[in-house]
Amino acid sequence: MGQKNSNRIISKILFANQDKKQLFFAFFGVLIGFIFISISIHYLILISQKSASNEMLDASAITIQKQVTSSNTLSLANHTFSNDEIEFYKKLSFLEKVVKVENNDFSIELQSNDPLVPYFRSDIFIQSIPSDFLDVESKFWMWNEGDHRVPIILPRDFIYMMNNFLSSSNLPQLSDDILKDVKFQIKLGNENPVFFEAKIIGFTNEISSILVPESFMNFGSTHFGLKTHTSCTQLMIKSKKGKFGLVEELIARNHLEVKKNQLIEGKLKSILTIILSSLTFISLVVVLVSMIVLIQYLQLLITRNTYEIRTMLRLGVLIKTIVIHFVKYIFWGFLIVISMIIIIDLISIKYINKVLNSAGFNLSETNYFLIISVLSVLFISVFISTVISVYRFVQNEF
Amino acid sequence: MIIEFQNVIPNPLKHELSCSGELWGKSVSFHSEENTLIDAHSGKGKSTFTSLVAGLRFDFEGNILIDSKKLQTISKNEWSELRKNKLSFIFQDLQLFENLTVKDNLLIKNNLTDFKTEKEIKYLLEFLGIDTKWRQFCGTLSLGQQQRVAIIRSLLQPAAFLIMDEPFSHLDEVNTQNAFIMIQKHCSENNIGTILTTLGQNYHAQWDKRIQIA
Repeated sequence: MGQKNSNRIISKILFANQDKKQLFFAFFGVLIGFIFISISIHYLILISQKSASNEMLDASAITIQKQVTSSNTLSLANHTFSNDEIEFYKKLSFLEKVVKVENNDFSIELQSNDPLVPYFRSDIFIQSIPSDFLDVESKFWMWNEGDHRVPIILPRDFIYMMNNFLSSSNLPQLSDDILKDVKFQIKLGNENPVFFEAKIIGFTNEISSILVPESFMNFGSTHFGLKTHTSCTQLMIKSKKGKFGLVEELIARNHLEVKKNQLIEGKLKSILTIILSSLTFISLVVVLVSMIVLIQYLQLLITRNTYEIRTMLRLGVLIKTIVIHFVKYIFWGFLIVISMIIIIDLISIKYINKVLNSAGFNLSETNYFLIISVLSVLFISVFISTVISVYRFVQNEF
Repeated sequence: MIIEFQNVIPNPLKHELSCSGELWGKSVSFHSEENTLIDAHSGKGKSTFTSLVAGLRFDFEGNILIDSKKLQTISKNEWSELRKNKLSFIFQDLQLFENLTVKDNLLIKNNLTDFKTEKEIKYLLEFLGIDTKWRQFCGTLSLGQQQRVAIIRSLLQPAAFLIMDEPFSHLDEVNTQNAFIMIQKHCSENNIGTILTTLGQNYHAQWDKRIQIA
């Protein structure tokens, strides 16, 4: 009872001289800043995650090749990339990575080996790119000599073709998940062929050939290759964050070709990344300014109560006890702000997702855990900074 | 508890004080079993003495020890504990909360240790003739009434020492006598040593120690 009464008296002493208008503006700033931060960070991460969810190829990577013209066809112009050209691209500051896309120079066939699909057999064209361009765990994208199973990534065009084939044969079409369980066989070489089991681990819209691990490509070239010099016709490049505009210029200037959807996606992602990053930065500034206003407000409150705080300390009230009163005071403010932010965030995200969906952007997977984590980290930082500041102000009055 | 002053000279008074007195620049001990009177004219450092013992200032030469511990080595939390349980003060400027009622001014101190019941506190107010002021804001009281509230507040905690800096300066003779009797009774019942600074009065009491500051 005494303690409760004591707390009531201390609160009465400390908060008799408060200016609620200033406190309102400080918390309002925190509210606005945090709403923008959480929404922009949410979409920043969602954009990078979303591109990868159904697409095995890293979304910031694109394959480039020289434009095919009549001159190329007539062999009057070179459509391959020379080593000098590759070196030139590697030195460009806005490109993070540049690698050759390797093609097969050996005979390879893919055939079905599963009762789920009718038998078919086809000569195929395979390519390999380094695993760091793929959004796949390295343990799933691994092949060692002696392994019977080869992981492969299928182009979506191949699935459309297969489903058309199944449909015309009055057979049910196959979903991505079922297709991953269908058994395929790879046949390498014509004389003394070697068979492998092909394991589909994912699909890509961005490359028209079947992708295999580099080690498998090297094995095929070593043991079954025609030993002809394979020239480099395609490069895979990865731009640095927010630099896609420069890649676009490079493509236009050097008469390069790129899949149109890759270009649009890359451009859109780049613009969105810049906008959202700027928004995050501005929001952080707003939060910082609000935090300063909040701390200044508390400092002012403490300054107005200098005599009262000193007197309490002289009576034997602990610094901690006084600080706890300020902490409780701002805690309620923070609790109201957090609740408002969560409600406004959820409503805003739902609305933004609806608008994006209606515009054809499928960005609907709201990661609530992510929002709560980001907000928690920021709130804890702001709260701790405020508590430390208050502790120092009160301690100075001792 | 023992408070020791070893050759202490407060910095602001360094050039004004002569060392002919019995406190500054000398070695003096205060024991919690004793009642001590410090007598001095204005400006000789009576309030400085109280501030030093209360740990409100540290601008002095020499050593001050509380139970053999140097003043400067006492942590802020230890000071809070001392002020709550060992050292009680009546400051000359009273240190009351003008915007709080008499009740809240007294309870904020009493609630730290739950030393007395509300009934006991009201009895003390009645003894000093201000029981009707229980719900009145301290800022609206006369200086004499405020001083009596400050005196009562100093009795609402356990203590080894009660240190009073001219505690009756705004009281008439009758109220001074009543307040002094109340303090003496309280201190004797609770084994509290007193140190009282004054401008020449001795309040017709027996003092174990008298210190003259020149």
